[in-house]
Amino acid sequence: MRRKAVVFMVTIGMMLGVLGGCGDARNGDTGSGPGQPETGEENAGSGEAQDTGGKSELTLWLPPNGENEEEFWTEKLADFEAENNCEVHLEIIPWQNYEEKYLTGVNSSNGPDVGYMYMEMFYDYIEMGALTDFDSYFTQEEKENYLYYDMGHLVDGQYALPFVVGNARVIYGNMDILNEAGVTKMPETTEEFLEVCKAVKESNPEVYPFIDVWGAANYVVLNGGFWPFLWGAGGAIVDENGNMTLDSEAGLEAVEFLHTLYEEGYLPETVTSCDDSLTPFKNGEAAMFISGTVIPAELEGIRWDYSPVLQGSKAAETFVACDSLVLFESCKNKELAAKLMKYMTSTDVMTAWHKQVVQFPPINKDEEYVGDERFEVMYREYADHFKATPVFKGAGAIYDILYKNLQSMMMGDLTPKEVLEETTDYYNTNIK
Amino acid sequence: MKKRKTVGGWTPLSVLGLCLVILFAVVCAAPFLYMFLMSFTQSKTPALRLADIDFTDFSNYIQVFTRNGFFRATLNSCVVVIGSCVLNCVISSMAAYGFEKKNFPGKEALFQIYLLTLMIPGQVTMIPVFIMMDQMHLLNTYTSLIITIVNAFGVFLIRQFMKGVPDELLESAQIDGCPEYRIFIQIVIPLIKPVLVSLVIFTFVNSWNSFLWPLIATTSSEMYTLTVSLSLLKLLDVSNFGLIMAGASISFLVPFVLYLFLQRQFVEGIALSGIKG
Amino acid sequence: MKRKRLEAVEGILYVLPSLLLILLFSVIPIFASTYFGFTKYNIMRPAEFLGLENYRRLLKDSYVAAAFKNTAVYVCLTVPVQTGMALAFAAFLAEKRAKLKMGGFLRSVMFIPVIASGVSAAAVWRVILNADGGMLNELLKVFHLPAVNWLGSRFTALLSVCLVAVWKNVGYFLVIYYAGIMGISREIYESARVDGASALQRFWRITLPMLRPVTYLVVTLGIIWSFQVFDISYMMTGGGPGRSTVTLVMAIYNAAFKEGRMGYACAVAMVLFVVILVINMVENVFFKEKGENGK
Repeated sequence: MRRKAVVFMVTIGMMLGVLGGCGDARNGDTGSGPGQPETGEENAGSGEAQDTGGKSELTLWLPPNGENEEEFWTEKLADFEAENNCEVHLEIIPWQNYEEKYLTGVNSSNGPDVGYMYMEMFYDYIEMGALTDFDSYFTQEEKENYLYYDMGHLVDGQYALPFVVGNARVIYGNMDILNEAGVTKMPETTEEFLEVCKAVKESNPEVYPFIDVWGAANYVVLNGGFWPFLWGAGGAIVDENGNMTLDSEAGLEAVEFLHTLYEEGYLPETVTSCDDSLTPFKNGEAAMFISGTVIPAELEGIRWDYSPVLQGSKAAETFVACDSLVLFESCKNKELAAKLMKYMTSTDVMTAWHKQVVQFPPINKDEEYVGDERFEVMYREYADHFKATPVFKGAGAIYDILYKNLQSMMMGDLTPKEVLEETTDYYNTNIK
Repeated sequence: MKKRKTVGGWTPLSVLGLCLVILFAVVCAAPFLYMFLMSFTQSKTPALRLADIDFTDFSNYIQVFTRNGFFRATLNSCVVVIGSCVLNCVISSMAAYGFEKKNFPGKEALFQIYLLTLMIPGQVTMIPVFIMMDQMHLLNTYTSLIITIVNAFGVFLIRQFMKGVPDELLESAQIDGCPEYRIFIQIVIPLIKPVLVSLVIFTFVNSWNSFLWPLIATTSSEMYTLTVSLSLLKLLDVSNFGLIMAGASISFLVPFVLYLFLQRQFVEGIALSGIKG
Repeated sequence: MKRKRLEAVEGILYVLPSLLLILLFSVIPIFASTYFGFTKYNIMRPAEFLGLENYRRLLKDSYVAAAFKNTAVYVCLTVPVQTGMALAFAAFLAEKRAKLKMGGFLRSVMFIPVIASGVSAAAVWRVILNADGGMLNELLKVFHLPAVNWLGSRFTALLSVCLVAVWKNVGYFLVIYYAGIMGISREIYESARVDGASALQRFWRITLPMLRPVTYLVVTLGIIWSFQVFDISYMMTGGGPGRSTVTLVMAIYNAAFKEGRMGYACAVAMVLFVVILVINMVENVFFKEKGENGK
C-alpha cells in the first residue's frame, strides 16, 4: 500500500521529465514550418519526426522589406524545396527588434542558417565567428554576374552577399506646398534646405516644413536624417582603425545643423514621438521628408519631387543601403545553403521580387531596372555620392546610443557638444 | 446629526467623492471601449471618428489572425496558460501537503528558504535562466514558458489554507487503510478546492500577461505568445491603427470574458497575491 | 519509528518536484547571476573573470544612471499616488456601500485594467497619447487647452508611463484596501458614530490606523512592482525619447540582449536585487517600529 504512494509520487515527478523530453525533441527545429500548428505539448514532440525522411532543412530569416514579403518568398521557396528535396523554414523578423532577435537567436543556437544583415551588424558576428566565408561555394562566373559581389568582402573574408544595394535616402518634397511658399525647385545644398524650410514655415505655419522619424523604436532615422549631414560636413563615423571620430568639427557641424532644424521649428516639436513620417507627408501635413527610393509607389496623388543629395560644407553624400545575405557557421548543410542564396539572388527571382514586393535597383548584371524611372537616372549619375555605413565593432549598439543622445539634445537635456562627447565616451568605455 | 440636513445623507464632500469615483471608473473603462471601437475601423490617424466604425468589417481581425500570426500566438498562449495552471497547482499543492501534513528533518528551515526565494524578482535571474534553458535546449519550447511560472508563492498560499484541514481526518483515513495517494487526491484536494481556484486564476492572469520572459525565450515566431506578437504588431503595415487595436482586443478579450463570468473568483484570486508580500 | 521514517520519505517526495524547480530557476540562478556579474560574458565565449570591473563601469555609465533616476522617479510618483487613490476610493465606497447601489459595479470596472496585460494596455495608451490627433489631445482641444507631446518630451514621457501604471494598479490595491476595511469590526464604527464622529474623522481615527498592515503590504508591493517595470515603458516609448523612460529592467535587457553583454547585465541585475532587498528591510524596520509605537 505504502509502495503505491511512492509510485504515485514518482509518476508525478516524472511529469517534469516528460515536459523536459518534449523540449529536447523540439531542439534544432526552430521553426517547424508555417501552416502546421501544433496543438499541444504532446504534439510538440513530433518535431523529431520532421527531421527524418532524409530531407535537409534550412532556416531562413528575412526582414519585412515589403508588405507581402512572406507570401512572395513562401511561393518562391516552394520551387526551391521541390527542386532540392529539402525544407526551408522562413521566418520574417520585424525591423522593430531585428538586432535583438538575431543576437538572442545566434547566441543561443536558435539562429538561422541563412540570414539577412545590414552593415551595422556585421563586425560583431564576424568577430564572434558566427558567419562563414562562403567564397569557395561560388564559381567565378556566378560571382561575375553580381554587380556588387566585392562589396560583401568584409573585414577578412567574403561574409556577405549583397542583396539590397540601393534604396538611397533622398529628400522628397510636396511641390504644392513648396510652390505655395514660393519655392520652385527642391533644395540642393544644406543652406538652401534651411531656406526652403523657412519659406514653408512663413507661408503656412500649419504645415511642418520637414518631418523625420525621431521617435521610432530603433535608430533607422540616422540613415537619412543624420549620416548625410555628417558626411556632407566632411565627417566620418570611424577611422580605418575603428576609432570613433564622431567628436570632431564636422560632427559638431552636423549635430548643430540638426539642432537648428529642431530649434527653428522646421522639424515639429512632436518629432521626438514620431515613428511614421510617410503618413504626415501623404496627408499634406509635412512639406518634406527623407526616405528611400522605394517610396514613390506610396506617393500616388501627390505632386512630389526629390533632391538626391544635399551639398554640405565639404561634400555631398547620402546613405545607401547595402544589406546582404549571410551564411551562418552553425549551418549543417552549407552547400545547400549556398545554393539557396544563389537561388534567391538569381536574376529571375530578383526581378520578380523587385516587381512584386519592393522596387530596389538590380543586383545582377542581366537584370532590368523596374523602379520609378526618375531614379534610374539618379542611380547612374549620382553613384559617387552614395555611401554605405562602415563596418566596425558594436556599430548597432553605439548607433542606438547616438540616436538616444540626439533625442536628448532635442529635448534640451544635452548640448550638441555633449552628444558627441557622451557617445564617444560610451563607445570607448563600454563597447570597444 | 447635523449632517442629516443634506439630501439623503449626501454631503457636498461626498458628492464630490462620488463624482471622482465615477470619473475614475470611466477613465478605467474608456481606453478599452476605444480599443474595441477602433478595431473596427481602418483609421490611419489615432483619432476615433464614429463614422469610421463598421461593425461588419472584421478585416483587421482577419488580418491579425491570418497574416500576423495571431492564430498561432493565441494557441501558444492557451497551451502555456493551461500548462502553467495545471503544473503550478499540482506541484504547489503537493509541496504544501508535504510541508503541512508530513514531518521530515529540516522542514521548517527549507520552508524559510522557500519564503526567501519570493524576494528574488524574475528579472534578476532571467539571464542565468536564459543561459540554462539554452544549455538544456529548452528555448523556443512550451516547457521553457511553462515551468518558469512555478514559484514558492503557490506553496505558501496553499499551506496557509491547508492548516484548516483537520489532521484527525487524515489520520482516521489512514487507520481505515486508505492508501496515501488517495488521501491526498480524494480527501485533501477537494478540501482545498477554493484556494486552488484562486491559484488557478492568479496563475492564469500572470501567465497570460507575462511578456519579458516570452520575449527572450522565443526566437521563433511559431512559439510567440500573444503578448509578444502584439508587441511586434505596430510596425509592419502602413500604420493602420485599427489593426493594432484588433491585436490588443484579442489579447484582452480572453481574460476579460473570464472575468465577466468569474468576477468574484477573479478578484479573490488576484487579491491573494497580496499575501505574497 | 519505521512509521516516522516513512512519513519523512513521503514528505520529501511530495516536496521534491517543487524543490527541484525552485532550486533550478530561483536559487541556482541568483548565485549564477552573482558570479556572472564579475565576468565578461556572452554565450558564445566562456566567461572571463573581471573582478569588480563591471561594477566600476556601472558607476560611470550614464545610461544606467538614467535608468536609476527614472526608476526612482517612477517609484516616487506611482507608489504614493496609487496608494492614496486606492485608499480614498476604497474608504469612500465602503462608507457609502449601503446607499450606493452601484458600488460593486464601480469596483468591478476599476478592476478591469488589472486583468489586462501591460502590453495591451500600453499599446492602447500609446495611441491615445499620440501627439498628433491622439484622443487625449483631442479632448484637450475641446477645452481649448494646448496639445501636449505626451510621449515625446522630457517630463511628460515618464509622467505618461507613470500615469498608465497608476491607472493599471489602482483597481488592484482598491480591492485589497476594501477587503481590509471590511475586516474592521463594525462595532468600532458604530460607537464612533454614536460619539458623533464625522465620516472624515472616522476615517482618520479608525480606518487609517487599523489599516496599517494593509498599507504596509500595498506600499511594499507597489515599490517592488515599480522597480520591476518593463512592459509599459517598452511598449509605450521603448525607453525614449533619449533616456527619459529607460528603466532598470530595460537597462538589463538592453545590455544583455541588444549589446550582448551578459556579464555586465548581470551586474546591473544584482544592483537591482540589492536595492529591492534593502528597501524591503528598511521598510520592515520602519513599519514595525511605527506599529509598536502606535500601540
